[in-house]
Amino acid sequence: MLDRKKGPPIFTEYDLRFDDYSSYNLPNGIEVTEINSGTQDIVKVDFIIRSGRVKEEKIGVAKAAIRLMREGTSTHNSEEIAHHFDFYGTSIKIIGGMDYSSISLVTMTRFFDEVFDIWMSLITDPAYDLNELEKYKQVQSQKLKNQLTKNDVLSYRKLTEVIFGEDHPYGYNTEPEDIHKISRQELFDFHNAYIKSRDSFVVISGHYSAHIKKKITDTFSSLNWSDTPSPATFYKKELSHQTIKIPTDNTHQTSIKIGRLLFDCEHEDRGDFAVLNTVLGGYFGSRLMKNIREEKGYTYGIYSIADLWRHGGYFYITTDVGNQYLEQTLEEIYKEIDLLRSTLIEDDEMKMVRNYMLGQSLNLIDGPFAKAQLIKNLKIKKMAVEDFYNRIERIKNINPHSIRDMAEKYLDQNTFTTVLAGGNSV
Amino acid sequence: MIEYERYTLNNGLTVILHHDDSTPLVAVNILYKVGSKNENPEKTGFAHLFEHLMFGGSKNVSSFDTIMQNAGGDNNAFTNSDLTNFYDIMPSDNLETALWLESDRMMQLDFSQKNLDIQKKVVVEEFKETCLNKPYGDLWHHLSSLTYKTHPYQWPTIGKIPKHIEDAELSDVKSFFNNYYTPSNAILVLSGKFDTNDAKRKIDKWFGSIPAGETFLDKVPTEDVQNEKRTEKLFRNVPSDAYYLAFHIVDRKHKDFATYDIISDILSGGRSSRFYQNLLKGSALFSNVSAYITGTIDPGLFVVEARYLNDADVDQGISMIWQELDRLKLEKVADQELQKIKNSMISSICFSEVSIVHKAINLAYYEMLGNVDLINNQEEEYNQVTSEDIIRLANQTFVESNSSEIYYLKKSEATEIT
Repeated sequence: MLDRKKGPPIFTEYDLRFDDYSSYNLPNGIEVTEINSGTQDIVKVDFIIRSGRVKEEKIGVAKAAIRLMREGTSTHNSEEIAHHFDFYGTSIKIIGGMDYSSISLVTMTRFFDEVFDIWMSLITDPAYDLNELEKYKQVQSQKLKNQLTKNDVLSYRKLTEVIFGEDHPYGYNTEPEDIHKISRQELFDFHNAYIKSRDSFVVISGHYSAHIKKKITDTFSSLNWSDTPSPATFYKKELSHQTIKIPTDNTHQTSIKIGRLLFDCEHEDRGDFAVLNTVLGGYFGSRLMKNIREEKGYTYGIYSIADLWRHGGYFYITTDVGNQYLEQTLEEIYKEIDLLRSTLIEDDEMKMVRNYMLGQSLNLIDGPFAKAQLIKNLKIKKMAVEDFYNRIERIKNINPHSIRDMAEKYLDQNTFTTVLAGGNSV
Repeated sequence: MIEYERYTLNNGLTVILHHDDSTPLVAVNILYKVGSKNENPEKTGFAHLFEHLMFGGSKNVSSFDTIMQNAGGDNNAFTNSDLTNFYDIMPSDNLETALWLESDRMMQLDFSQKNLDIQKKVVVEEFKETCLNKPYGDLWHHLSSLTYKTHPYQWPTIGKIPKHIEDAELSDVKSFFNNYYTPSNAILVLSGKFDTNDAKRKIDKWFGSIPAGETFLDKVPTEDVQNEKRTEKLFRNVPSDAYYLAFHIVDRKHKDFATYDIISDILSGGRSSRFYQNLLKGSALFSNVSAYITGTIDPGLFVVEARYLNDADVDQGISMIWQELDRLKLEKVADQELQKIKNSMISSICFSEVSIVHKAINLAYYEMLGNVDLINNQEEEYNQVTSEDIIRLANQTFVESNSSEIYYLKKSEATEIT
């Protein structure tokens, strides 16, 4: 008779090492990483620059310069480009981030020769046509206006503005008017200085032939690009402690954001803090989720997040709650934080968080595209796969004392800014 | 091409195994053939509420999530009008833990008043967050009830009103579980890394002894043919005007389904599509305009959605949308354009096969449709669509008497009108 009370044994030794990749520099300084171990005949090529919003001289220029790359070159207009990629079932993905930007090509390998050259010309030869820029302004400013009617967007924008400051690229917010002020010349300037940069790298992943590899590396080798101008130094904001209320028309719930300035992505506490963040609000079994959703039913979801970038980082808690639960929710959040600062986490929970984090790390190495993404994220921060292994080792070895130390050091209520947007904040 | 093995346990549970050694993970997916269309019209939102209750513990497992997390796994679930689907993603060594957890909640869920009370509150907050507290959030409440008059697709999965959720009782929970969460009403799929013989043994060990039970399915009412245009105007506090246009189409298994899918892609699949080029870029009216099919198992909808730029003329936009729909009735779609859509479809099928979870969910879904083999026939089905099919269906479908439209307008205009 099967004993259902007793579950099967749980295994926690996961093999998180991998060696099916290679990294090298082209003669002109551009780095290439290859992960050629897929099972589907798909190839993905990522071109990544270590520039984004941190390098722009005017609000919104970096994102526009990246996003408009696909809207025409000196030889093909936007519509021809769209038709060409769609005809070959090829997808172009563009990301305009804070510290980095990227443009990626994803295609079935049998169409690679048909699409690669045009994709390459988006990088080297964007036309930044005036009509395309006008359309971009029209549509993006309207989409932004739509976003600005959502409680969680409003509370997020205010929080990061207060934490980093209105002059900091991580802190300032784009307004619809800013988008209208972008000029064509500014796009070219950004492209010349930052997109055509030797400080860029390429990641090739999937299951592809030597011919495809050669074509990509030959093409990037032929580029004669210079170094990117060094980044501006950013004013370091002091910690602030305040509560800001934003009244909105969405009165059924209140969006809560509680956060503070943290450290940059290279800081020595980053590994330990990541575990603390997981315990507090980083997964479904977190203390915030268990208490505020699963025991009280105040919200559909509550999370804590630590975003660490090259020039600074921040930590915040985010949730949307029914107005009648606002006060109790704030109280419970502070209660959970105080508990982490005063009491050591029990062994059972420590073990669970460790197992969860290690098991989930398998997702990061699940196939060539996940590995490419992992390496891309590391390289943006000028890190290597070894740093990933170190992170894993830290998760394996962390103890309850280190977690309490992190909480004491960084989760002092007097360093938190609270933003409330919505119904109950009027 | 997805290779799989399919068999049925004595208690009626369908099992599908898809082996993929290229991953360190395994996905365990269980689909229950019950959705919001099986609900009582006075107790809507219940199938989705029930999905939440499935995480509240079972006879021998006090906390599903604690064990899942200890095993390094993660899990989630979704409910729609046709089905409820649960999936776990595990390190492959811990496959058996997922089988234990899933089998225990299939065998005997722990009916707890406390859990029900809390999850009712959570779901009411979900209702507020997704439908009431954001612009255009209640669109589907209106569009569903405008397009369906007898079929239960007339309410969205979250439920008609929060009160229906608040009123749910423990006796409803028990009878719902006993009727719908039986082995014969479920499909179990494993996708990823596992040893086939070992997996079969473990599936039999944990699921084989669950009593068969019996599922009674009430006949879902069919929708009568619509024969006049329906219009609804809403005035809301939204940043810009929006317009929605829906037409009744066929069910998921109908041979014309692939053609409708292709039509929606001709209109709005990608940046080279007709809506994107001719409407979004070709006019200064829209910030977004798209077309899609709902893809429900019973006869579904073809939907056009338009968001306007500030102060754009809504009616002018509507006539541009109709020009594109009418063009499909008269003008043969060029071979190259049709080939483009087919290439895109084939690529996206290929891209989607990278994910073990995606494959697991799809295998369960096609099995529910009645033939899991269909998963490998998609390419063929799309390849068979001709430009004549498109003209025929466009003429049959895009007519006023088959249309329902919603004007979702900024509030200030209401004051101007009245």
